[in-house]
Amino acid sequence: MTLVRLENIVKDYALGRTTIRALRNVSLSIEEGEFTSIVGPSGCGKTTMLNLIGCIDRPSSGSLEFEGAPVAELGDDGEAELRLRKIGFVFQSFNLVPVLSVAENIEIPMMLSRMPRSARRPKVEELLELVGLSDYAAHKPDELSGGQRQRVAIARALANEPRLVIADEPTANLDGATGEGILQAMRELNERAGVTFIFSTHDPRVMRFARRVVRLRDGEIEEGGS
Amino acid sequence: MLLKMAVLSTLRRPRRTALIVLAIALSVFVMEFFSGWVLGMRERMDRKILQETAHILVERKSRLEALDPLAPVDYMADAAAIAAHLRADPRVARVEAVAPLEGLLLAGPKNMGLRLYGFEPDTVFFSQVGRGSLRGSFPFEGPGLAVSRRTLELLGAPEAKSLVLLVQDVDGAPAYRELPVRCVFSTDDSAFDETTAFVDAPDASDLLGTVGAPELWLRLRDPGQAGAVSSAEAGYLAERGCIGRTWQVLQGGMLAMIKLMDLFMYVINVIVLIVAATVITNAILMNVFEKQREYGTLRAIGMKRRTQLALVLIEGAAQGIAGSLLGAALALPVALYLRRHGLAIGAASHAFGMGDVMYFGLSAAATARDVLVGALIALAGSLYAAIVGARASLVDALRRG
Amino acid sequence: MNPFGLAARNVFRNGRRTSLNAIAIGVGVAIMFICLGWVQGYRTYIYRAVISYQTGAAQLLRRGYEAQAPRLPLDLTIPGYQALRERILRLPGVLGASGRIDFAARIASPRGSVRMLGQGIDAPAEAGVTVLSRKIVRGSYLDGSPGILLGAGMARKLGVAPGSVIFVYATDRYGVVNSIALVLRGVFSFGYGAMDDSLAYVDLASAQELLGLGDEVTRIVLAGPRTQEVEDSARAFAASLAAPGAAAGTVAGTVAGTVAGAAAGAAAGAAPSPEGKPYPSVEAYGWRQFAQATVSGVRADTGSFYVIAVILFALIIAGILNSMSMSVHERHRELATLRALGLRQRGVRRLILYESTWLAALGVAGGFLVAAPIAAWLGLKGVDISAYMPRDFPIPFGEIYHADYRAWHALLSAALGIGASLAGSLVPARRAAKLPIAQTLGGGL
Repeated sequence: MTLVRLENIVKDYALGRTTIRALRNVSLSIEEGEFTSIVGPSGCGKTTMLNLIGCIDRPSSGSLEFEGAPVAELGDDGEAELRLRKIGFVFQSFNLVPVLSVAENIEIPMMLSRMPRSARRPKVEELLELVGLSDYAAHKPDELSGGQRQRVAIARALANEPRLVIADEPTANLDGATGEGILQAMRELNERAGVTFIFSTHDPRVMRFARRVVRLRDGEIEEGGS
Repeated sequence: MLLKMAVLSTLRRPRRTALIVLAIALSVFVMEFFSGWVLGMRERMDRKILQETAHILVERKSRLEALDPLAPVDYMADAAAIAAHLRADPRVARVEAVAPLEGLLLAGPKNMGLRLYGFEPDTVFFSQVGRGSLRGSFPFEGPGLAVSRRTLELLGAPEAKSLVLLVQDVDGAPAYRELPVRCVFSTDDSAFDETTAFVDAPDASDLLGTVGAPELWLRLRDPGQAGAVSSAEAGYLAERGCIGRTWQVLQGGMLAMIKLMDLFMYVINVIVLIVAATVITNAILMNVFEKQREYGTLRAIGMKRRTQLALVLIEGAAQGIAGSLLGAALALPVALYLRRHGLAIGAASHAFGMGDVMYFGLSAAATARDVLVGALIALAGSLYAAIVGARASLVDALRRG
Repeated sequence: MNPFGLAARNVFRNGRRTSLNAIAIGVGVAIMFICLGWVQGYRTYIYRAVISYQTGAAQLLRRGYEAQAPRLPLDLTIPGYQALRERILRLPGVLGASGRIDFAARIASPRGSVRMLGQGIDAPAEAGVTVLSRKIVRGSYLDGSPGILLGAGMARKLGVAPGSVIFVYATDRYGVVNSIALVLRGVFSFGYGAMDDSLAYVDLASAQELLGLGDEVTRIVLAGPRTQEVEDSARAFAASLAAPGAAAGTVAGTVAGTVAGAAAGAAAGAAPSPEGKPYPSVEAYGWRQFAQATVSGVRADTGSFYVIAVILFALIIAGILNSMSMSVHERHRELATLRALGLRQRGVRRLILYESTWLAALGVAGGFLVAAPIAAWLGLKGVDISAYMPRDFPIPFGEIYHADYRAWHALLSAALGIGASLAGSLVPARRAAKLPIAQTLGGGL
């Protein structure tokens, strides 16, 4: 089933008095279960595309559909709901809440979706075990290494069992071995649980993990689109 | 150049700078308002002391405990001699006999009981009467009365040319005389106007049948000398069964009231300053933290830590001075207006000895002090923020922001 | 983990900033609370004292008397006092009515004489209007037979005691000086210098005889549990006396219920004035007319307190606005992340406002911690005012002034503290909610 469909997407940015066209008439379909990477040089529009797919930004023109329903018709609250239940994010700079513990960070999406507290605890433990951080539940983010923090971020992204996980340069701030470990974990999740992954990268080693590669250059798809 | 940097950076964040400047301005405005109020009270008091009432009041000791201070008894028969002696003191500018008495003024069917003062024709006291005279002048020579316009209204004889004064003489018998109204006055104190009138001393003593004078009022060249003069003459006066009281004692109630107001206003100022200080310190702290990276960069290229401190302090001082001057500038028109027209708080102002309205005062020294305090608050906040901000190491500072 | 808990932790992230803001709120709340009780004390103690010592709830005077009051005019009296009093007692809300005659008196004893304000009082009626009958410290109250009451200090100065004979001199309404000998029945003390040292109470009949008056008084003082009701009744009654039907003397049924109805009924059912002429104009006044120094003093004090409160809270709100803005700015990536995770705009707004509430709670708690002992001292122990007030100060502060603290003062102060904190956070909360997610995350997820 087509999870995400982009058609003739254009995205412009105002930069002072000039306008920058970040995406030019991009069309793309992502099927359920894909493990796809968006690649290209810096400034090619990877992040912009992921922002649009993740509904944290809106296209200047063109249509975006999630699970067959047009996103443009959703209001701000609708988009928030979508992000809460259907989409998970993994950020390049982890973006964990420093005042909360690892377990509490993972719990955030569950709290937002009003999962009863009794159900949260076992789920958090399950996720911690999934990413191999069961012993770190009570630690604060600044006590963890980069790789560990990213794994917490992944666990958090999976908290509400999303259909799609979006990761922007997830290994950019990690060393080679750790980065590979992260991608391995993501790949396993994709194969075992069928979670669709879209991630951006410019690192060729990371690209290797993807089953599908979409190349972007200057806001247009060079290859890999459909 | 440091100054330029400091000023330019304040302008870069207009809203926060405005907050700091306005907080200081508000504090200074409040301080100015209250010091103007207390100053006005002091000025009124000074005027009362310097121009209207006695610096030292000499009378017979027995009069102090008298049942009725206005009864024509316990006069100093040797008042003239005592006055001459007191005049010999170089610190004494003037000695006058004043005779307060109780009388009834009659006009047709209406009458009114008042306190009257028998005064000398060239009296230097009671300047508020002369200043407020509407018809005729005060003081005057020869027989006559000085009455307030309000009194005439109450007597139903606003145009009266003469009134009958009825008193009780030394023997307790009624004595009366018709006297011309030589002055009609209106002062800024309606309570005074409604209860006081003046009669020439010869007619007063004639009616009362008294000899000498009940009170000698002294004006000194320097009112501050009152205590010294009073002590110096205490022995002489005691021998004659007399006592002198200084203006500090006579106006004791008013002095106490002023002290109370002073305290009250001091407390209010402190409270406002505390709150303003927290706001200002917070704001300056934010400025400092926002600029951590910038300071770090400057330090990396060689600026010393104490220069960073100086930058923050200069910025704080600039805002402090700007705010203080703004506050003073805003307070000035208010103070001028209230100095001219007074603040009407109703009948309570009489209770403070202030007349019908509270007139404010203005003083360059007080304003300078308030401006300084405002600037100091900003400086204190900056000092704290600067010390806190400068603690970070260079590397940390570069990483932040 | 819940939004409140997260909010609490966010508040404590920057201890310094939080402390400064909490101190500001705390000072505002403390001042508010302390002053509210102080000002309430004016109403509870001072106003009550004024009303129960002297002014009653309302008074009726002859039209024009007040304007001429400084000369204590005896030509502007209210005639037909006894009959009038009967009618007044039937007015709604009025429990007591007492006639008085104000005159300039000279009180003489063998030791000497002194000028005072004389008040002829209808002693039995006065007992139902003021507390004079309960302020007798020696001897006894007047019982309607000829007698005089003097203040403790004056009695001592005059060298008299209950049983002594006092001579009272006054100028009667015809301008003639009269005198009367009266026995000092009792000595009173209000603890209020302005009254104790200057008033001499004389029984009404003696005063009328001394001053050449018939069944007349210069004022009628009314009392009742609800001062506003008494005032309204007095005004209606005064108006009804002026109405043409008042002198007619026709018998009409009393209309129960409305004030005007009852007053009209009382008026219509009564006898006309003695000469059958139209009744002289009577004016009704509320008690404040006779306590202007007190009322204006209290108003000035209360007014300046409100002005200070406004200034303080304006500063507090501005300070919090500034802090919260900074706090939001520092955390903008974190907030955008939460939005990306699915937090709604109103969820972000609520988070900021929760933080604001925590801050306010801290400030309010701190403020009460400081204010409570001060309030307890002011309310229970009171402040010794007597040292600062001149003896003849025209406001009955009493010797010890007590503030009067009520529960609503605490609630109001707390509400203002919380309100100020929330008010200062509204704009930053909205800004935080409206953060553009992608832009704030800054080009990278």
